[in-house]
Amino acid sequence: MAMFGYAGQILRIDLSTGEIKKEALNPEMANKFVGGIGMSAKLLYDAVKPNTDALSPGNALIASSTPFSGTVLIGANKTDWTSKSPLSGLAQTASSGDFGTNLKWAGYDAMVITGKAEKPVYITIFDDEVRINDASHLWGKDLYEATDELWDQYGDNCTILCTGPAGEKMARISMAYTNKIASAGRKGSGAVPGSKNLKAIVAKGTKGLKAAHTKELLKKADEIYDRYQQDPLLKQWMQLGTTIAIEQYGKEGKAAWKNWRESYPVDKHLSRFGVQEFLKVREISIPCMLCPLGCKLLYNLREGEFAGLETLQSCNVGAVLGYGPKFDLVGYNQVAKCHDTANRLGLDTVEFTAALDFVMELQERGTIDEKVTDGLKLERNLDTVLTWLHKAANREGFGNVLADGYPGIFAALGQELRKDAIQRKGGSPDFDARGVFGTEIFGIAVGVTGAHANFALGPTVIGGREPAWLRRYCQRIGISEEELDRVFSDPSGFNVARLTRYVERWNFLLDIMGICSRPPLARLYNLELITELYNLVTGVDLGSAGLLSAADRGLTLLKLFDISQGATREDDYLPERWLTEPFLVAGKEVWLHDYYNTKRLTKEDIEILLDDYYEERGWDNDGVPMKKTLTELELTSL
Amino acid sequence: MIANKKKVKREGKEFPILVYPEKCTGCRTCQVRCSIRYLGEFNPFRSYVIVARDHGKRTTALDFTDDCTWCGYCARFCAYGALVLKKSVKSGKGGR
Repeated sequence: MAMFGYAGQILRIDLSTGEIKKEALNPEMANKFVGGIGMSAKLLYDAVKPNTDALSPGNALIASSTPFSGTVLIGANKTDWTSKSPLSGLAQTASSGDFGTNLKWAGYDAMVITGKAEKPVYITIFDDEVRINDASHLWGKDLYEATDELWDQYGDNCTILCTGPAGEKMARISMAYTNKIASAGRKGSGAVPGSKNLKAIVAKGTKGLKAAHTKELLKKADEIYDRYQQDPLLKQWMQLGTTIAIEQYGKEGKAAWKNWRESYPVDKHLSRFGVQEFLKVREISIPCMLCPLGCKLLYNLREGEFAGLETLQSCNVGAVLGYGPKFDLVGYNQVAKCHDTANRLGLDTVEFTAALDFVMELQERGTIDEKVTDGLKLERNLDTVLTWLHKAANREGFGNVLADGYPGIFAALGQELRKDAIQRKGGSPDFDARGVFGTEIFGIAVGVTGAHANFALGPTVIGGREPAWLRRYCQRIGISEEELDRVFSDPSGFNVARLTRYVERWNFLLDIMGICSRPPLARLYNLELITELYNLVTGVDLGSAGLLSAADRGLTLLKLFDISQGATREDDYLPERWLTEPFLVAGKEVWLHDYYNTKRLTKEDIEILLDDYYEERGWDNDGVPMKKTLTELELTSL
Repeated sequence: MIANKKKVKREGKEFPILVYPEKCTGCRTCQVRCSIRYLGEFNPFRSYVIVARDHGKRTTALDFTDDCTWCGYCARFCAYGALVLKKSVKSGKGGR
């Protein structure tokens, strides 16, 4: 029976045996896990056994599209990439790029790649024709070169996932990219294909797909598009992408340097990385397929250092904060050079810069000397960054340690350094907790996919929002009155742990539907609308409650996966230094405090919040989902 | 701007779109909009709009098949100003 909104098949490729299987999508699975990260969670849990080495053939590289992928619903076209992370040892996911759209148009809702090829290979997926091809001519080439070569061979309508030289060498901080620009995720997404001798995957689908109620769907899609065009910040978003936040972050002290000890001086930040400086190097918008926002961009260095360099950038604010303030770079030309180098090598900017910054601090305070770092003094400048990008990607000298991020540093220099590193689950956070303590900070502690707390990102990322404003937001994302009372009964204004649980559910649902987290796109959708759209696309009415359950089911299943790989409550804390040291903003000490700055937070406070979070999720005090919760989520068979 | 190929009026209409291929990002929204409207499926390969993207040169060639009905529906959803409805220019609403 044809399924509207779904292609109806799951593609399974075992690179060890060369077997390619096309399995019919079970409608019951579609109804329970829907798509995106929900479907990926189920496929990961089933495919990867407990305590599997992430770099072994037993790991799986999974891509899932969503029911909305490839339709005309704007901003709802993302692909979920999932596997066991080589960096955290837990689940890793990314909702990124448009690979899933071509995969779905080719006839597959999801793809599961396991095993390891004997020699380097790449996969081609052209509708029914799926092949494993010799990649000996691509192996060793940088990520841009290899992708361009495949575009030359197969045409520009293909979507291409590719890993770089760092991924080939299984660097745990490597990254794979779709179409050279959309990352397949932090925490080692380049090393997973690398460990399988898989250089790239090329997909093109010409089958298209149909919706159950086309006329009504188009009417709704038009309404959404009209609302999108009314966004007052739209032109700024289209011009700046995530750089829209760069000046605000600088002024709020979110641009950290000296390994999270100080905020970068505001005057330097604005003169080097302000919007006017950015516009000198910005060339054009680069959108994911079917996206009207185009938040990704092309840098073109028209003059100055590295003039003539053109390079692609996805989350620009992340790259600028990663390279710029941390290493005292003098402006966008130097940031662009670093980013271009990292992308070509296939290294993750955030994890690389965090690890290098940490090692610099160790050297600055005398914990390690220059002998450890190949006789080199680590200074905050461009040369140091470029030198260590190449060394890490090539696993040369101490670069062999950096290539594996924080876990590599602990293994080489001592596990006692864990307490000194601003990391959780082997990865770097995005924000410093001592500025604004919202859900995105608590999510760093409890996130099932590690410190990159993308599922906990919510309205509290901006400080000072009134409880009444937050309550209205909560109603839009489907939090019931009873749940709201628990969230907002806290004397400090709201309970950040309990709110995190519901913000995560909402972001999980967006991911399940492939809806982008960029604000001009994400805020077009609310629970009622998503429920209606799912019905119009698929012809299946799961109801709002059914969709929220699917989100909880997916997240809980990833938690069960993490537990199967060894995760415990001990993993669910914030970096210790955030609790014991202040952050210096313009010379002023800022200590960890709650969202409304009513009190300083201690380790005991975090313990209580952790209990609250587990209780709100229906997990026991060890963070293990209780039988009652599994029954409600229909996960007891696991 | 390229010269529009279709000078003749179709069904008494003037070709309703101004085409600026240099602004096209290759997002293919126009194609999917066209295919769902006329063929009932989301499929850029069956669209009456032809989008030929060259990633290397970062250029796009835009054209329309002989089946194109000149309805202008595709242009309504071009966010990058590559396809612009002539009537929206006259009314001052067109072109980003």
